[in-house]
Amino acid sequence: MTYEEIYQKLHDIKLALEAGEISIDEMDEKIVEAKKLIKLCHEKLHETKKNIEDITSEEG
Amino acid sequence: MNKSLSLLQIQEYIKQVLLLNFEKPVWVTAEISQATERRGNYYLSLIQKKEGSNDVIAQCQAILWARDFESIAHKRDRGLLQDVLQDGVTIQFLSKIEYHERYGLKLRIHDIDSTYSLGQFYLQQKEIRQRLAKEGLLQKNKELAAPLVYQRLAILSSAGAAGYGDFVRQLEDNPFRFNYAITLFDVAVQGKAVLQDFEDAMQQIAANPDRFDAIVVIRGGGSKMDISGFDSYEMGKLLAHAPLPVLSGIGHERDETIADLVAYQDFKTPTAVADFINHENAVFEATINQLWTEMVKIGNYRCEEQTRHLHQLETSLYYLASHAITREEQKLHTLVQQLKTQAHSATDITLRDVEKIAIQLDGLNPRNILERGYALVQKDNHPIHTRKDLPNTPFDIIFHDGRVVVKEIES
Repeated sequence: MTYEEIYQKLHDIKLALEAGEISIDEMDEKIVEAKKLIKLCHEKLHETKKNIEDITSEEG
Repeated sequence: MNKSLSLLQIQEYIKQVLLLNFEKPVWVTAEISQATERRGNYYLSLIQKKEGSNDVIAQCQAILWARDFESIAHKRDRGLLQDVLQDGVTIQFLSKIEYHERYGLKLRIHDIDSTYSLGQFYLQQKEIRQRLAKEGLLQKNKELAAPLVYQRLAILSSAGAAGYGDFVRQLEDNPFRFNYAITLFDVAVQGKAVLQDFEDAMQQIAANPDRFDAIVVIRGGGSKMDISGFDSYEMGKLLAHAPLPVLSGIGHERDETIADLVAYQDFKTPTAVADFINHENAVFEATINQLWTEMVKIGNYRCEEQTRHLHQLETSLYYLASHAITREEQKLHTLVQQLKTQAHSATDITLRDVEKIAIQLDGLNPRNILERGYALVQKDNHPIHTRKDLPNTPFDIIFHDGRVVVKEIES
């Protein structure tokens, strides 16, 4: 799954929460899913930043 | 028997006629179809073509002895003189018409107006330029897209030419440490073979143009007529149709050659071409470096921006979830309160009913009735309701404050 797809999923969960479309029974499941997605996003961002730093240091 | 002349007599007669008619040298205009130099002597084969055609309508041999050459070179430009004594050049010369009984007619050259040849040359050049322009060939090669980098170069030059050596040195000793893939097409850069060699080389390049980024035509310094191979219409057409940009560095003193004119870009010397290539590549490298810096900057910015967005989204998700839970808790609390209230209310009603019943029951309680002054007659704990049921045996009268046993009654 790409970063954009993950981010979109998170955004959709947020919109559903805002609209009150998520029941209490679903919420636990959705929050766990959101947590996993956020972790994935962070990992992808860190990986990208690290790649940029690595290439920059190679160039130097 | 007919009277006849000997061969010598007829030759002597022709010689006499010529001497009488061409006592003094005359100026002659003719095209050199072939010039051969041996020990400083020039042997020229002269022709005249029919106007507007290649048909030869007159032909003659001429000779320029070494001592006459030196004499002319002394009073005119030696270099230019050498230049005009080339195949294909139209010359105007002062000639003594000589006739030898054995070798026939020969024009002995005493002087050459080299400026006339130069003028003729420029006139010819002008016509070629006009033709190339008319056919759209002056711009054709220039319209090709410039390569991003000039790295794989097809060089059309002579391996032994000084210009080629200068070019390679200048290219390889570049301060940027660029590496080049140079493929030399060893072609003649002087004489009759120039065009054919260039056509062969161009055919090889055109067969697989992706192998190269550009074509470089180089030749070291040359005199005006030396580089005539680069001044023909055919050469112009060939280079104009080249599948890759042509960079020309034909070292010469005068203005552009036809090859320069049709090239993608022309330079005065081979080293100038090398400088241009190094410069273009340096510009490209600088652009790439600049792009890289910008990419890193944008990449970092985007990562930071996304981290911020993600953080905001995370906060907002947890807030919304907490809020939803709190809202549900409140709803639950309200419901409990409502239940309690309703339960109390229901209890109160029941209590009131019970109390009412209790009062009613209380009213029915025999003890309370007894207190009001009534008494209860019982026999063996069973109530006696009527007189006739009153037994003779003892029975009980129950008052509110105690029991009396009646053992006997009067009838």
